[in-house]
Amino acid sequence: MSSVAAAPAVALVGNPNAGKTSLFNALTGARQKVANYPGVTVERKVGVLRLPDGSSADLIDLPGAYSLDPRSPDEMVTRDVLLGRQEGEAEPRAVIAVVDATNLSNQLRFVLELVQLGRPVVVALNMMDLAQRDGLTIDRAALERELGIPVVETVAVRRRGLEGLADTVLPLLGDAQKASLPQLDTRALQRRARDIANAVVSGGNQAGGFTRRLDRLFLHPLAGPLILAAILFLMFQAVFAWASAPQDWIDGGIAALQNLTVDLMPPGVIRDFIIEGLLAGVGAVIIFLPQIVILFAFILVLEQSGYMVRAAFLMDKLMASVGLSGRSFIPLLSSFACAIPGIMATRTIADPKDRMTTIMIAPLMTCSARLPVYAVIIAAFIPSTNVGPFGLQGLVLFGLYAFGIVGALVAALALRRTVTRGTGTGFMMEMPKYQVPALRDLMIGIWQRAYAFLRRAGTIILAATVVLWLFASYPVAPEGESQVDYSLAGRIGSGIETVVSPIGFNRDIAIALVPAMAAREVAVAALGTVYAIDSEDEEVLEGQLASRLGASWSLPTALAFLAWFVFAPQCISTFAVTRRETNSWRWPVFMFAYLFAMAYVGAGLTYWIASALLG
Amino acid sequence: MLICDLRPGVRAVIDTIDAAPADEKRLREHGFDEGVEVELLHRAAFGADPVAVRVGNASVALRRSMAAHITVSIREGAELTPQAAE
Repeated sequence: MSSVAAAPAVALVGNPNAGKTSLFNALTGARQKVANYPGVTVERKVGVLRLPDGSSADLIDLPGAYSLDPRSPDEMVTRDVLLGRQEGEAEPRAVIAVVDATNLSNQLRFVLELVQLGRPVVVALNMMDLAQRDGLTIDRAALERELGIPVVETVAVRRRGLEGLADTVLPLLGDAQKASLPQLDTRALQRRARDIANAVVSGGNQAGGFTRRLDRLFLHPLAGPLILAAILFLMFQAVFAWASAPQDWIDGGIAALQNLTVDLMPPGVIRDFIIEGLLAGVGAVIIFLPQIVILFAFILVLEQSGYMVRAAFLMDKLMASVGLSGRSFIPLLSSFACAIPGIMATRTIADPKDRMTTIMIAPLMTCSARLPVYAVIIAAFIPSTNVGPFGLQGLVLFGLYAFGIVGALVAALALRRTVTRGTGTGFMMEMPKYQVPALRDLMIGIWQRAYAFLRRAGTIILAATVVLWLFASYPVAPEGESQVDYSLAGRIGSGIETVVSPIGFNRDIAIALVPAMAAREVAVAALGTVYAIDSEDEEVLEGQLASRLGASWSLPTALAFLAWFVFAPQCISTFAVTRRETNSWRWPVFMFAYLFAMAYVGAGLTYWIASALLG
Repeated sequence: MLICDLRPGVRAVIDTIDAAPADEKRLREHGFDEGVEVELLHRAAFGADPVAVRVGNASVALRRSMAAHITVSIREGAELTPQAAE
């Protein structure tokens, strides 16, 4: 599967914290293609590397690795591409090895391993600014002599050394010969790397004083966990507080479009469809874009600044108590935005059982798609009074998050004793030096995630909304009968109702649950559509939906509905990504079965207990 | 003595790495090797597990169970100045 003009491929490789992604972004700008390798789950990121002679090469951003002896699915792709064994990828003509200039004595070991492959290698001596900050002097010419390959100094976050890198890569591309070299083992490579580092590096105090001082605070036994809690609190606070203004604009924009449609078009099926189906449905989803952007901005800053590994360190003990490790904390935190990038982020977990367990519990983290559901129900049923200094509505929302987290911990514990039994490989992570994230890297990262979300809203969610609208609008009811009762959706809903009525769900909920499989937030749009179609006036939108629900649902039913959404895997995309990531049907089917069981029992208990208490 | 039993801020040198081949390779890939200077940097709040250690110029977080595979000896005159050791 070669690309059109078959530009030569150049692989970008390095240890996880060497600044590889920054260098990739700096070299290729926003001209990146993100796709998947056939058969495996690892993302394939390719960009265009402009060369000084006017031609270009395909720059492949390979997952960070410590060696060519893979432990995680990520590292396996790195090895296979470098060996020319990866399906769907041309053999790279040259390799750019990114190293952290402040840690040469260890990172050169991987460079030496890459050189042994016999392909042309260029070293990007990255983070030269941090090396200078630490007072290190590196003799570049001596390093070139010792390694026998070109070395270019770079500072990826400041775009320094990029042309030099391209100039150095160009002459290497012509030569397709692979040299055959003696292969040394890890230990010999380690010693050789240290000898080279000792010969070329001088000055400096060990392990960056700046990072050390910060760690004394961030990893302090008492202050550390408190700071982490404060950061997480700020993050969730920001998701709600900062997003509300842009959400109002989007809401206003959608309403304006609906009014415009009413003004411009004659009444009829097409106008109904545009207003009730298209605008109401997709609008109900796009409104979450600000929250997703804010959440990912936080996560990206935590990752790129180097703090995320500290968070993993602080969380390791808690995660260990349910059989996981601190490494699982990172994908689980991403899952608060959306389980899909969270599940994809588990690729860096080396131990397959740790990884499976993390994937299985990721959907229990309250993703942003649940927020619209929670927001509507809370607005309708929970009075906006205060309990002490806290608002009751906020407390209920916090409780739903906590409910999901506790559920996840219990589920992890149960899974580690049954389906994913066995001892894990523990926890070992290099802690990168702190640095200020580059704005460009943040922007590219946020853009890639926002784009993925909008694409989902534009395709699967749009399709689900349209189908629901059709099902709820046809066949047209005769005069005097309820349209929803008479419609196809109403009849399907009545069938499902028999299953869910024991846990307090009515027919309207049953109807909404089916399209909500496309995405949870569709439940809100679906309820909106159901009530809009039945109410002739076409004007039942978000605001009025809450009062409508308040009038027609009992409090126990509403609480059961909330409990259902804490657990229920109402998301086809999660199924699809789990199927892909685990490369099996067994795992996604198991995930959905156990989560639906938890949701049914959770909603049922909530309904029965609330009914008993409230009389 | 074991690397995880060092007092924070005391410099030591690795004597032996005695672990199953896969674990040993993993430790080596993170820079642990006989003769390399190390230092215990931090211990987590509960049960002092995991620990963070300096290995050469890098910091690595690892669990005690893994750190217990590494023995070290303290360098002569290796006590750092009090403010650096803190």
